[in-house]
Amino acid sequence: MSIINRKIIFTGPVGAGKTTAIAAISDIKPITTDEYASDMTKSRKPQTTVAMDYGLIRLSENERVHLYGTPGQERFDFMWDILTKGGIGLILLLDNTRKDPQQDLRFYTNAFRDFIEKKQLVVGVTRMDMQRKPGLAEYRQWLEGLSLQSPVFEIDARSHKDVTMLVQALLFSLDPGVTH
Amino acid sequence: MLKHTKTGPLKVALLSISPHNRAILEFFFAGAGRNLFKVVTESEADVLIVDYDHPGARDEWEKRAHSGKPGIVLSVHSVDIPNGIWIPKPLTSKALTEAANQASNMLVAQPSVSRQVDALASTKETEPLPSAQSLFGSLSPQPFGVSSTPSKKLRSLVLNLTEDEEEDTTPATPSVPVVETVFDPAENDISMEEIARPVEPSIPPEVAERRWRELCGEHEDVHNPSAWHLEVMLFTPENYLLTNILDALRLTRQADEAVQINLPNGHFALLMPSRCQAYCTLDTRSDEFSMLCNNPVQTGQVTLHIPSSAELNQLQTQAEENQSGLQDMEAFVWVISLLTSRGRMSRSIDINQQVSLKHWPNMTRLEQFPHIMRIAALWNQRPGNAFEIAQALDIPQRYVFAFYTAASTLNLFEMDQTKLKSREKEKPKEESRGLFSRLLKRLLGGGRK
Repeated sequence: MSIINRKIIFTGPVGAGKTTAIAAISDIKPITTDEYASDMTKSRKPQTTVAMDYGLIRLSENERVHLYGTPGQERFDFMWDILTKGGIGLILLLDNTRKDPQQDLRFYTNAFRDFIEKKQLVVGVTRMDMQRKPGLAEYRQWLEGLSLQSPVFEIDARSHKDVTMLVQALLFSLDPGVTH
Repeated sequence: MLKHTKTGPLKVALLSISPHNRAILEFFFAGAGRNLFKVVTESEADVLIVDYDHPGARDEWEKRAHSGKPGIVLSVHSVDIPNGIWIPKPLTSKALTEAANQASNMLVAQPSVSRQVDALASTKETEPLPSAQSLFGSLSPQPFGVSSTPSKKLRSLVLNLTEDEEEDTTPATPSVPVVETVFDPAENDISMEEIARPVEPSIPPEVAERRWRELCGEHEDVHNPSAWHLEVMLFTPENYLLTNILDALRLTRQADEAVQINLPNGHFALLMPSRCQAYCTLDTRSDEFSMLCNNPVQTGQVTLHIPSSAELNQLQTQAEENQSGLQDMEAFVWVISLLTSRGRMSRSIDINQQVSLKHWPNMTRLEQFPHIMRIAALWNQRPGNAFEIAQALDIPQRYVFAFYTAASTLNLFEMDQTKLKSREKEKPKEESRGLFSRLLKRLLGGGRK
C-alpha cells in the first residue's frame, strides 16, 4: 500500500509564529530538528544549529499531510526550493511588530515565487494585537503591487481556529469546489 | 563555485540511487558542484556512483566491478570495497568534494588504486572543516543530505559561521554557510508524540443557525426575478444605519482622526483609524443592535462627531476598559452590512454586473456564515455576478448576496470591467479534491484521526 504524502510549507521571519502555528494543527508534538542534533555534530565547534520545524496531520493509514516550517534565516533560501517539493501550498506568516513587514513580504514572496505561481499562497499576519499598523489594507496593497491575489488574514498563531482558517483559504483557493 | 583544478569535471554515471539522494546529487551537480562532476552515460563515465542502501544496488555494482572504474558509494553504513570511496549519508557538500578529489587520484594511479575507508573516516574527524569560501567560492547554493533509512536520531542543520567570516572576502552579499545536513522527518520512520488536543467548545447548531438567519436572512432563491422579486431582494442603504457608518468611515479616513457615531439611547460607536479598530457600547450580537441595523433610521437619530483630544482620551480609556466592545474596524462594518442586508443586495449596485473579488476579507476576525470561504475563493478566481456564483457553487443565493453586500461595503471587489479578465485565474485541477476534502474535515472536526 503506497503512502500519499503531501506538504504544507510555513515560512516567514524568525518569531513570526511558524512553530506555534504548526503546533496548533499538528497531530503530533512538532519536532524541531536542532533538539535532535547528534553528538557528532554537537562536538564540532564553532557552529550554529538551525532548526526546521515539522508537524504532521494523519488523514488515514496511507495519507499524510506534512507541515514544514522553514528555518527563518534568510540565508537558507536555497533550501526552500527542495522543501517545497510535493507541497500543496505556502503559508507565509509575517510579524507585524517587525521593523519592515513590507520588506519581509517582498523577500519571502520573491524567494518562493516559482512555487507560488504553481500553487497558492496565503498570508497570516501575527502580533497585530501588539502593533495595529500596518493594517491589512496595507498588506493587500503590497500584495497587489507584487501582482499577487492572496488571502491575507490577521491571526493568532496559537489559535487552532485561526491557523485552520489559513489552511481552509489555501485549499479553497486551490479548488473552490472542495466540500467538507 | 567549487573548482576541480586537476582534470576538469569528473565524468560520472549514476547507477541505482534512491530518488531522494538522486535529487540531492542533481541539485549539487547543477549548482556548487558543477565544476566537480559531470553526469554522462555509463560508457563515457570514468567513475560510477551508487547508493548502496538501494535495493539491487550491490548486485549492480558487483556486475561492474570488472570494469575497473572507481565507484563512489553512498551508504549510511561504512563500506569497504576495492576501488570504492564511501560517502556516509546524509550527503554533504564536503564529502562529495573530498570524494571527487579521491576519485581523481584513483584514476591517476590506476590500476592499483585502493582507498581505505577507515583512513578516510579517521581524517574526517581530525581535519578542520573547510571554510564556506574555500568550498563554494561565492554564493552558490549548497546541497543537503537526507537520511533515507529509518533512524531514531534526528540530525540537524549545522553551520560553520566563524570561518565564513574569517575567509569570506569576495561576496558582496551575505555569505552562504556550509550546510551539513537537513533531516527530513517525512522520509524517516521515527516515533512521534501524539498531541491530545482538547475539544474546543462549539456553538450549538441552533444558536449558529439563528445567527446566520440574522446575518443572511431566509429568502428562497429567485430565478428570472420579476419586479416584485426585486423589491424583496434589494434594499436601499440610505434608509439604514449602514449609510451613517459609511459616512463615518469616509470621514475618519479622510481626516485620519477618530470619529464618534452617536446612536439612539445614549449608545455610541467610535472608529479609530490609528488602530484600525472600532469600539461600540452596544454588543453587535445583541437583538438591540440587530434591530438598529435592519430598521430604517430617522433623520437626526444618528449623528457623527469628531472628538477633541480630551474627549478622545476619555473614550479610548473607556474602550480599553471594555475590551469586549473593541473589534477590528472592518469586522464592525462587515457585521453592520450583513445585519442590514439580511441576504439582500443594495439597490445602488447593478446586480447583473460581473465583478471579481480583489481582496479577501479578514476571515479570522469577522462573523462567518455558511459557504463564505468558497464564495470568496471562487469570486477571487473568476468574475461573475452574484447569481452566477451561487449557481456555480450550488448554494443558496442569500449567502452570496450577503457576501456581496458586505464585501462591497468594504470595497473589496474589482468593479472595473477592463481589469476583470486579467484577474481571472486558471480553472483549478480537481485531482486533489478528495484529499483536500478529507483534510478540511479533519481540521474542522469531522474527520478521523
